[in-house]
Amino acid sequence: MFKRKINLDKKTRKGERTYYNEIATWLKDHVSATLKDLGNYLVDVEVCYPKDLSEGIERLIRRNKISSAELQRKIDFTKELKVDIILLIYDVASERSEIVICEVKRKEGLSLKDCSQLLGYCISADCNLGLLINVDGGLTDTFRNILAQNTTLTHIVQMVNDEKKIRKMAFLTWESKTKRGIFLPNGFIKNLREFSQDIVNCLKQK
Amino acid sequence: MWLAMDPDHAYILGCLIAGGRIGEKRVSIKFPFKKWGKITEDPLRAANIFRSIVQHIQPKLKELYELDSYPVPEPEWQIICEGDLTKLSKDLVLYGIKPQGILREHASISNIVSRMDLVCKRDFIAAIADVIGSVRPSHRRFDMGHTIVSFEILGENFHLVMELCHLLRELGCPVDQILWEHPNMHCGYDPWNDKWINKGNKLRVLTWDFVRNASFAFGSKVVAAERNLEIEMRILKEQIKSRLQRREIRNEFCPKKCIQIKGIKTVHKHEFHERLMPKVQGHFIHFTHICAAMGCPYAPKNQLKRKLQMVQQGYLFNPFVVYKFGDYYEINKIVESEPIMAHRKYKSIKVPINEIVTQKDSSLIFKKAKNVGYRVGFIKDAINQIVKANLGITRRKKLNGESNRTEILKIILRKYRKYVEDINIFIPELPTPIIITDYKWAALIGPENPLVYKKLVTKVDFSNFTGIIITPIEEKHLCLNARLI
Repeated sequence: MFKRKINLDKKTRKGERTYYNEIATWLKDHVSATLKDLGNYLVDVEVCYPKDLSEGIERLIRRNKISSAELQRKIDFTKELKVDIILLIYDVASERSEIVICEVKRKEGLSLKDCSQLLGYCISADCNLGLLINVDGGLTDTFRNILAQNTTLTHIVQMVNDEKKIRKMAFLTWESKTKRGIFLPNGFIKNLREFSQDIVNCLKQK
Repeated sequence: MWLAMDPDHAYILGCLIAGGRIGEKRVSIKFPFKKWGKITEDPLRAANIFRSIVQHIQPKLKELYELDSYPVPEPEWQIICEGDLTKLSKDLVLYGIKPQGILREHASISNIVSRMDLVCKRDFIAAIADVIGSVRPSHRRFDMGHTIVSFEILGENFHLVMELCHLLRELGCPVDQILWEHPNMHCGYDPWNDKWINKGNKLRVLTWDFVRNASFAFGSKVVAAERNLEIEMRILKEQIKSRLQRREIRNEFCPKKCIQIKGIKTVHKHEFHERLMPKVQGHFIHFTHICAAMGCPYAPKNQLKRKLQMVQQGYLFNPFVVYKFGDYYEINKIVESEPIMAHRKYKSIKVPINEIVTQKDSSLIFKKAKNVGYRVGFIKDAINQIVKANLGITRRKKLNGESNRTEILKIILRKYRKYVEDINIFIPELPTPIIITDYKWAALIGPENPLVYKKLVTKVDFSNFTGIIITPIEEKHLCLNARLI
């Protein structure tokens, strides 16, 4: 029985990985298309799996030839953080950058556990934005109810050394048939426009 | 103020252009899925359509234009928005679109598209395909067995069709055919047929090309398109073994696209109909001929010139009917109403069946001079159709699994010979249409007579490719030719 459960888990994990590349491409295309009217931003994406977040950031820096002290600093403390996809948004004018952590799941409904995992990644890597993606699924009813009652759950204010840090999260359904993402209205960020606007706001506040 | 052009904005504009109807206080986007999306027909598909509308369109209308909306499934799918339309109207006006009535009937997308990048263009075309892209498996390109995604653009907005064609081209998706709302496109054989009116323009793309380069956002449409491709693969399995071969026969972009004109088109009575704008009035030999007349820079003009030279020689058109089938009284009425047919002396003969079965479809029969006579293929069709009608079988249905006209005729001769024995052919003394009838059903078949017909061609435009002007045929023209009886 126990063995069977492990096999099923492995099967599910393998399933989600096959979508990483198409999700990454869609994210890059759509975020850059939305940001193009908001300023001069460089948008790139990296599938971190099976490596860790620090290696993903390193690859992004190398590929885009960015010299950012902030990103270099991140490399040191994001080792062993096994995130699925990261999105880099780089403000060419101010040379500021923002990393969005994307966690991909393939299950019937996302739960508080998945949200907590992403929040953990965001805090550990000091990232302001997180995107929780479910392939062909939405949220569980329980989680949807929790979110309806507690709107701050995807908008966490954290105090670090007297500095206020805000972690925001969005939920996205990946439709494997149409190869398109649909933002779910349950999180603090409700659509692609708000998501892109938040990225810009984060960059400006740095 | 301009709303930023992003993929969501592009998507919603696409939906509005394709299906939007704007009233004073109400906007609706209609999805013409009458039968395809009916709840009783396929509940799962209807549920998917509902989910797609709620997920893709409803939140975007709220986000962009602050409009609350609700989907309605009957009598046809639509999403209705009520409230303050100021933001939506202002947005459309900025793109030069009048926010009034059915948008696809008057809108131009050139201003919208000019502000889009490739990602937005893809979402824009996906929205148009979600609303008016038909994926019925019956849409086929028969010569290759490929299935088609057909963009059905009702109304007389020819420019929108051309703009869409150019947009698809930009996305790497060649248009297979445009079925313009023109009598020469919809009623090529029957000059009295008025069914071309309200047919709309149909822009047809191979499913394979569309799914690969653009695709839909509605899951129900993607599922249907994939199912079509499966059917297509099954049909083509014998002919095309691998994807590599498949790529070899792929559709070409204009002007490289090969123009194939297989049949003769009748000179339709409505070629100068008031519904047709001046640019597309006259006789047209191919859909690309209309594209050229519309001023499309990609139209295959060199190929068209060669075909137009054939028209000057009296080929590719017929000033009479090419083929018309109907009940005896209907056909009789037509003959009586046309002096050139009514004033003829007809000789009645029995069907020379052995001669007809053995001859090729393209060869001519009852001929007097070289290239003057009636196509055997049409005579076979007429006999088949008369017998089928007597058996209660519709025209498109196969007979004993056969669709080839000669094979059908052979089956008829084996099993239903008595029906053929009742058929008479009325041949006129001059080369005007013959009448084939069993006095219950009848068919009219026009003669081929290039030597006479070339004298009727009064204007062929080799520079702007406007419609060909063909003088109506009169008895004096026919007297130039030899008599048949």
